Amino acid sequence: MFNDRPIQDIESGISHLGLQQDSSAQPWIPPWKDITQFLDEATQDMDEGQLIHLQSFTLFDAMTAIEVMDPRMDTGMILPENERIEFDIHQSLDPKQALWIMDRLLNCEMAWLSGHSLAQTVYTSIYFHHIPELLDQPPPTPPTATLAQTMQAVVKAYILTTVRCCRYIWTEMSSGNVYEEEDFTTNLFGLSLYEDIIMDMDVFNDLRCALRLLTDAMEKEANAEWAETLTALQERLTVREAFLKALMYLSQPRCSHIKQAETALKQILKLPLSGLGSGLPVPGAFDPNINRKLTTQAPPRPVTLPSDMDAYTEFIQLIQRLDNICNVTTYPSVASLMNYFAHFAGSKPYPDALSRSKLNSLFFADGHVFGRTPVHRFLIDSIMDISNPPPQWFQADQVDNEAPLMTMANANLRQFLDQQAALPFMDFFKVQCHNRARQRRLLCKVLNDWEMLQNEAHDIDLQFHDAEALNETPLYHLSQWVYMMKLTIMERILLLGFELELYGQHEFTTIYWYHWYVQSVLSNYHQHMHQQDDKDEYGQYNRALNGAKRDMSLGLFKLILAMEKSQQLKHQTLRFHNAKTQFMHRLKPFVHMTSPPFQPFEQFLQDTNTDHLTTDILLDSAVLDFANARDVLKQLLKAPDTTSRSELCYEANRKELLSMIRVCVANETVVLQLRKKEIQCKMEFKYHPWWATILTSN
Amino acid sequence: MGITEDANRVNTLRSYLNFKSRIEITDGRIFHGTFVCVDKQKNIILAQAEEYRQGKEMDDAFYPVMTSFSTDEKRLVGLIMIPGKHLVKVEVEDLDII
Repeated sequence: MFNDRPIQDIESGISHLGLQQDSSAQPWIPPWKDITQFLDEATQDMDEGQLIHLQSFTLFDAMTAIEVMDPRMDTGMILPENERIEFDIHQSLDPKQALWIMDRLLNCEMAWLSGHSLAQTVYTSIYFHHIPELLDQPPPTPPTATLAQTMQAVVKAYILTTVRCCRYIWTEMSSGNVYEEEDFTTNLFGLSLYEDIIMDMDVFNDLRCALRLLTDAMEKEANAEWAETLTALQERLTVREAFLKALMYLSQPRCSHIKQAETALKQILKLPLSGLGSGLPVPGAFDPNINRKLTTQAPPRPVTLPSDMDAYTEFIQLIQRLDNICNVTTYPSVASLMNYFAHFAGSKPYPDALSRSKLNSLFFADGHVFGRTPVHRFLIDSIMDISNPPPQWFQADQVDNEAPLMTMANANLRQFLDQQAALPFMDFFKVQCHNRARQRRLLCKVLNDWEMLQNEAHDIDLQFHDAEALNETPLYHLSQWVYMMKLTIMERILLLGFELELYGQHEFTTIYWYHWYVQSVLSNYHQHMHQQDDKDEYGQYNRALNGAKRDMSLGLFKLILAMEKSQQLKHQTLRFHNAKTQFMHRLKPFVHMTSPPFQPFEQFLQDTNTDHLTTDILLDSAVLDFANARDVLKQLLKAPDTTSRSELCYEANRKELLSMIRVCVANETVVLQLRKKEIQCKMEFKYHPWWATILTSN
Repeated sequence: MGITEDANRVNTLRSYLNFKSRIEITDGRIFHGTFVCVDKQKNIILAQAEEYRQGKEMDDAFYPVMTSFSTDEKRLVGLIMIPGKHLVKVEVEDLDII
């Protein structure tokens, strides 16, 4: 019996319950000798702690053995609550039972998307292990179909659509945009997603058929109780169909079918599901211990399925995010897109892995942004946003023999854009599609790339300066852009540490101080370099915003210093603490940078020396800083979305500005109480994850 | 006499290392595997072990030589440790007959 598709059969064999051994291939087994008694006697002769083992068998090997009869490790143990009930997939179900299966399946799907393994979530449904039989189930003929037959067709259609959805989702998640095991488990553990036996066209046909049968049943069915359930089933089938369509369209290369995907997603959002949680449980339809049939002996992880309501809420949030993502594929400017990504990366609740992976895949593939814009064009648009160089810098196509310097500068710029700046710039966007903690780690890594880019940008700026032969000082358009990006990354690294709860409270002054330094560098640089162009509203907006952030950090720095000085803010006593070591460790990503020059520990000590200042002076100064910031932020709130380039994230941007204003106001007002020396205080991130609010603690 | 007998028993036990072994435990499951380690508490480690569990249909005749496990579930569990307190029956392949 020669098997020419061994892998496939193994997979399908495993998916079927119970691996049958072929009796004709039975090897000859020698007779067994009962040594139970002998073992008792022999082990009594052994010493305590003595092991009888093979030479090659080490203690390390012994450690990796799975202990049998330990419920946490032994996946085959028969626990009293796990009595296996045989489930017949062809059994007839009533509408409420069908509803329960669908809702339970959605819970499993959401659990899978949040990171649990497929075997312990979606594939706990027995139906998924009998897909070929399900496919062979004959479709009922519409006029004469009984309710039971209709339910069979409905459940079959739903299950098959879900399998296809899982296939699309799994393909997306395996494309390398998320961290394996951290964000998602791509390991299928031998399970099959049946990609070669289920075709999308057939699935859509089955869905259409099932929907028609449901409509017929609803007309025929006089029972009012069933009527609601049948409507609920119809909604679920429609939503499931739209979901499959959306996934299909979103997975097309180069964003070719985004419009169609958007239509399908909006359809889901317009159809809220009724009757959540009103289904009737079907015993045996889901077996949480089915993973013990699989090839791997990985001990099962504890999985709690979300409730019906929670799962549905998560699902709708996912659909909403995907809809937003479709919307931003037509972005008005690169700066707008950068703002969108920044808000997406930090939105609460944090985006799920599927949306993040999708945004990543759609954003950059095949040398193009969102399937349309070539990378160098995207870069040029960004540079124009920030530093507005003369357009002739970018004309790399025309070779002008009269101006060889210009031609060479153009060529070098083109090379810079295509080869050197392209990847770091794309990475900046892609980093924001990772989970929040990874974002900070990755930004620390990419910072070095921008350091190198700055040197090259500087060279090219000088080349253009020579080529244009103007006697003014060079304008450094390219360097401006690179420097701004670099400082943005530095700011993000510093402030994300607060959100990720990386800093001890005694380190807050260090971070706010360094952030204030970075923002000051940025403000000075702008003043130095930028031709104060009154028409550049976006530039003005940015400068004002950076100024406000600088003042907030400075205000907090002074406020915390004052409270530490007057002993009103107490930190935990640290025992093995060396301030300089911690300082250098905390600011490690910035130590070797040439620009901005690293501020050493000695400078920090100097700046935090408050011997010549009283607490009241510090408090007064802090209040001024917060008042300034607050005024500027209030002005910025009034700016239209085109000025702030927040067209794609208007609401989120407003919310952030408001929360920053709240931080300023709260800190200003608490100072009045803090002037009384006996009041103790504490720090909390009440309004904004990056700027602390001082509160009295009593 | 006593010490040499003890030494012989331990040595005999040592000679069973690397043999195929069949172990039945308290909840009725049977493990087939290569015997690699044992200690004083009779904790046994088997390598490349397979677990046999009896399915719903009970087999009438239970032949010791030809394993009629065709109705039971069998699965590969790999490297396992069976605590001594769960042992019911321990068998090892009898190569004296050859």
